[in-house]
Amino acid sequence: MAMETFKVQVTSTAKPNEYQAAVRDFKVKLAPDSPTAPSSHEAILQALGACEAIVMASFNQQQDFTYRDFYYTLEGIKPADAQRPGMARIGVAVHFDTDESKQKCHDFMTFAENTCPVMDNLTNTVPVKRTGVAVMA
Amino acid sequence: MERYQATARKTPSSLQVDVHSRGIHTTIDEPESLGGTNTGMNPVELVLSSLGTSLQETAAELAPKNKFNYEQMIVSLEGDLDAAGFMGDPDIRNGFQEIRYQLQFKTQESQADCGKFADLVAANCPIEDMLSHGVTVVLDQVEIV
Repeated sequence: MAMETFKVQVTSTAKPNEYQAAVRDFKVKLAPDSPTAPSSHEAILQALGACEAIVMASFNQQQDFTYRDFYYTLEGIKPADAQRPGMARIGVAVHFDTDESKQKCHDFMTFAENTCPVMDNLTNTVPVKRTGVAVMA
Repeated sequence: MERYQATARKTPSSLQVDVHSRGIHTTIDEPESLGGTNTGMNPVELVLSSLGTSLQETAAELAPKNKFNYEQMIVSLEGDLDAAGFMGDPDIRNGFQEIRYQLQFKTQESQADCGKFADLVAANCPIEDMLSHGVTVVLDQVEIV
């Protein structure tokens, strides 16, 4: 397999405090405090949940796990006396509609955590480098 | 205490996932090259989107107190990922190996002041903090419904 580079551009929109992420043909609005757009904090939780869900859907046959349906609920917290800019903790709950045993559910969840790209980046850190600052005309 | 919440539910279609917070839904999927049906961006692209937005929000918040004026900012992000990692190669990590971003400011401020302001934004950006320094993720519950 080869290294693939994923690219995203985030710009402001006509509305104050609203931003747009453009990725390939997709445009998603994100905003810190909006009834119609998720925030960046919600988006990182959504990315983790979606990533684990895609891992489960991709590997369940290989892992000999069957289900009719499943979903994740995630919660991130930032305490009032925050010691850092980011969240202090993310809690994850997975809900399966399945005939498998509780133990098999736990084992499959462990597999998902050990396979999921977003889980890897959030728990093991990833270098984030600013490679340029420019003044536009 | 601030709380943020999200739900991610697998749809019946292929690798497609419906994510939502406060009733606002987004479709996440994989491109066809990664086995999906391309009905939305993928999770690692959403990570970059979250980081880019967090940089924008942090800049907007810090600018007035630091007497830095700008009309707009463009954030261009990239992340490198080798799919062989999550496909099972133990020598390759599952997620991004590196994330890079560039900032462009529409402003009267000098290049040097833009650089200093960018450093301040990086140091205070919640999502950059979480990715660079790591965050505790706990499996609180496995439920059979």
